[in-house]
Order: sequence, then C-alpha cells, then structure tokens
Amino acid sequence: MVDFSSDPARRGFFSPQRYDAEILECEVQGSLPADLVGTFVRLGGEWYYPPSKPDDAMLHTDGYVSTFRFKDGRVSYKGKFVRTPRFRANLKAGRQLFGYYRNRFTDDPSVQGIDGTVSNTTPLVHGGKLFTLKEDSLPQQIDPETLDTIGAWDFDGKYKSQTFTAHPKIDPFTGEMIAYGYEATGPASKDVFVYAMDKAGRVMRETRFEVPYVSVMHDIALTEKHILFPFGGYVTSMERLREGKIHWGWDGSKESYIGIMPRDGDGKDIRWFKGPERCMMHTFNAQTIGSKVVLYAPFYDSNFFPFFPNVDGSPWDPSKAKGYVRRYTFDLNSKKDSWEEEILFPLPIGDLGRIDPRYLTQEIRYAFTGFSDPTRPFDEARAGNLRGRVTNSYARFDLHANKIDRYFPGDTHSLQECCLIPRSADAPEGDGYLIGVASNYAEMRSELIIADAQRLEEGDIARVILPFRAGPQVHGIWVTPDELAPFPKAGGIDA
Amino acid sequence: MSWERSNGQSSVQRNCDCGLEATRRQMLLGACSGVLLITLGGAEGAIGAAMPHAEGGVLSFYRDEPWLDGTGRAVPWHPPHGCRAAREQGALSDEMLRRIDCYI
Repeated sequence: MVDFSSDPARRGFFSPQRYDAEILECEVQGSLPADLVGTFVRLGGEWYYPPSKPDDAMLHTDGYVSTFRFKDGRVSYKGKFVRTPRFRANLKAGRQLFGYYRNRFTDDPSVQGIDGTVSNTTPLVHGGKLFTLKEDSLPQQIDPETLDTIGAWDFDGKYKSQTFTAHPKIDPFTGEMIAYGYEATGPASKDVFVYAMDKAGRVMRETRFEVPYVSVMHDIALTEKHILFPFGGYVTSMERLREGKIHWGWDGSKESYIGIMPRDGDGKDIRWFKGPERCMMHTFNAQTIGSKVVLYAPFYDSNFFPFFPNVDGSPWDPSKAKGYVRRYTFDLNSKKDSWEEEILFPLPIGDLGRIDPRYLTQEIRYAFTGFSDPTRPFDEARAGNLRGRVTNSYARFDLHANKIDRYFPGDTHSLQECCLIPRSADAPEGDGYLIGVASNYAEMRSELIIADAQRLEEGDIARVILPFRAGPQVHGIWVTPDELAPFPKAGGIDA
Repeated sequence: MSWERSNGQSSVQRNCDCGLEATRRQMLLGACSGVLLITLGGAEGAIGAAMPHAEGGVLSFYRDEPWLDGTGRAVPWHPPHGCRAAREQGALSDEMLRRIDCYI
C-alpha cells in the first residue's frame, strides 16, 4: 500500500503526482511562434514510493522525463517515469527498498547488486541518442518516441568509469562531448575519469586523475583549450557510509578547488587553484584568453542543500546559501594557486543558470537564470503563503551593459529552470525564446511559458497549459529536429 | 367545502360532501396551514425556511470560478484539503521547504 500521509510537507502542489501522462495536443494561450520547431526535454524526480529515510535528499527521487514537442504552431506533451532497475525493483516489491541517497549500506539486502540510480538530473542528446543522467551511475538510454527506458549505456564498453556526470559539455563548434565520472572506481574514491567522445558518440580519449579530497564535482566548464573542474565543501568517506549516513556532509572548513586541465592534455597536466568556502554546483561558461582563463558561475557562499548536514553538527544556515553571478579569473602564468573572484551583480540568484548554447567556450554577453524578486507580489490568499521563497522571475544579465532584464509570470506562480532557444542558427547571441515551466499554485497546474528573450519585461508570448502539475524539474534541454532522428511522433500532431 | 356569507357577516358553514367531519377550529387550522405551505413553496420550502441561512446570496467557488448562490441557503463549497496548492507549505521553515524541493 502506498501511503504518503505521514509526510505533511508533501501535500497540495507538492504531493507526488505518480503517473505517466500524454496530451496529444496541448491547450495554448497566446500564439506559438511559427519558427519554434523542436522538443523541450525535461528531467526531474518524484517519489514513487515514500522514502525509507524521512530526511533523505529530494535528489533521490525517481527520475521523470517529459517532453513538449513543437511543430507547426502546435504542441504535445508526454511524461514518463524512467524505468531504472531501482524503479522496477521497488514496483515489484510494492515499497521503497533503497535507503539514503547514494549509500548502499542503508539499502534493503534484497537490492544488493541492483543499480540504485534514479537517473533524475539532466537529459542529454548526443550521437543520435537520448539519455537521462545522474552523476552516480551510467546514462540511461531513452526511446525518444515512447520515452520508454532502454537501459544503461556504456559507449560500447569503452566508458570505464562507474559514474557519468550530469553535466557533460558539447562543443558547439566540433560536436565533441567532454564527459567525466567522479568517484569513478567506487563510492568515496578519489578517482576521476575524463573522456572525449566524437559527435557520433564514440570514445576517442580517456585520462584519469585524483582529486585533493572527495567532494561533489557536479559540473565542469569548457573553453576552446581547457576543462575546469570546480568542487568544494561536500565531504564523504567509507567510514561515513558504513555509519549509515547520507552520502554527503558539508565541511565549511574545507577549501574550494578548481582544477584546470588542457583539453588535449592528461591528468598529470591538471593544475589546482584553491579558494575560500564556496558551494560550487553549476557553471555558466568559461573562456581561455591568452594565459588567462575566465569562468562565469552562479556559485553559492556556502552549503545549498539542508539534507547534506554540516559535519560539525551546526544547523543549516539559509542566509549563507546565497548565489550570485560571479566571475573567476585564473592566471596560468602566475605561480600563485589562488584566483580572483568578482561578484558582478549584487542580486541573489538561483544557480540553474543558462547561456545561449551556441556560445559555449566563447565570450558571452548574456547569462540567464531564475531568482526570487521581493518587489513582485504573491497572492497568498489564492496560492498559499510561501512567504517569498519562490523563484518568481527570470533574469537576463547583460554582462557588457551591467544591466538586468526581468520576466515575471504572475502573482500565483513560481518558475523552474529556464532554457534559451536561439531564434535561428545565425541569430545574434541571446536572440530567441526563453522558455520554462511555471507552477500555478492557484489553479494547481503547470504552464510552459514562452517569452522573447530580448523582451522579457513585456511578459510571455504564449503559454502551454497543462491540466495537471508537470512535476519537479531539475534540468531541461532544447533539441532541434536534426539533433535526434527519428524524431518523436506525437501521434495526434503527426496523424 | 364552500363558504357562505349571510347578513354581511362571514360565517362558516360546513358544506362538504367528502364524508369527513371536522370542527370549525380544525377547518380553520387546516386552511391556514394550507395557505402557509403554498406561500413557502411546499413542505420542502417550509423545512428550508426553518433552517438558519444568510441574508442575500452566498459567494462560493466551483472549479476555481466564483459562483453566487442567490437562494441564500447553499453551504459554501470548500475545496478538498490541500487543494489550494501551497497552503500547507507556508508554515514550513526555510529548511523544510528546501528539503522538499530545492528548485521551487
């Protein structure tokens, strides 16, 4: 019997939706742009069964992949739980068999040897295949038409790491993918394996190195010449795992590190730079300019996740979990192992930042992310009193003009991660559509908003209305019709 | 039953061929009751009138649309527990809200 009643927090809009869904043609308010052709693929997670540990991380929810497919001014929706080995084992048993986030010592003995990934973080399209990713395991390949789960993909046996990042980088100029796995040889191992795959998805190069200490290496940054590996603060060990604790703790006394390795080099060539306490989760972009490397990232001052507790036992402090648009400069000619950090805008932001994907590795002018704008209203009577703790706006940061443009979806809404879709292959940087799923707390439904990325202040052009909640999203990607073949048939639209 | 008036004064005389017998008091009571029921719209209306109710219309909501019940006798419709979205989560601490969903 499935029973969430002992969890009072997961009610209303936040109660797990627990169903696969399909709408052959969605309701639209406004007018969809005729040049918006392709698919928005989202990935997030829901608890299909209640967690066995009430304080487990929400990052441990069962992966749910969904698509909005746009064609001829119309749009369809499909959503499905990723049928991981874990999902199928739980379903067979009718209950949660897995313990804490990434701690196999806390699982039910019956699932020893079963891949415990939830594959719930980022979708990826590369080499003509669609994947769901989570950094604790291999990619899960997904049928792009049905969203059925095909299974784990190890690149024809050439990928040797036990783990695969949720944030590989695809060079927009060459199609090469840089991917890596940390804790590559097992939980709490210091090993990192780095791979380059050609645009067909074939493994071309591998290199390995060890990190100064085992931590969350969630994202990297890529330039034309270098790969940047940031991490800091989160700690783990086999001792911690054997004690039955959740995988990560936070140690604010630990230094942050950013490793810089030449793209054509190997692990011996990595140079480590150190800095103060930072929570380094996602990056915007990076660029190599002569002997300097510049990184733009929405890093936090300190621990962002309360379910990864402080190792010294102190309570989680939300006032320290503030993210900003930051610029880091590294001088590769200097003997110093420190970096220069600048906060470019004093506005606290969410760290699900995006750029125009065509400008990865290049100089960028614009960065996009969500944030909580306290100057905007929230209708507590209709939506519930969340006390200003929602992402209620998108921002376009103009790094050249030092200016912020903002989009507001309405006073009963919050916003999930945005995605920038270039208007055309040769459109100027940032010229296109900014899309993202909005949660409508008054109507108990989700809406995909489409705004002109150059005119955010004017509001959205169109909204795709779902008659239900679409479920949480971590990351989403835009896929053009030529990136994935055969392209999914929506049934109704292609009939 | 028929009514007859004589000498300018109303009087009641039983003139019924239904076979029932009734006193004058009973006939008056029955007539008054009948008028009252007709006025109230029948037995159901009488019962409703006897129940407490608000003066004027009742503003209610059905499927998120406002609905004015002009009879003044309807009970306002309240959505099921938890239906109003984020009402439960308003009481949560920052930490508990972040634990449910980091990316809200």
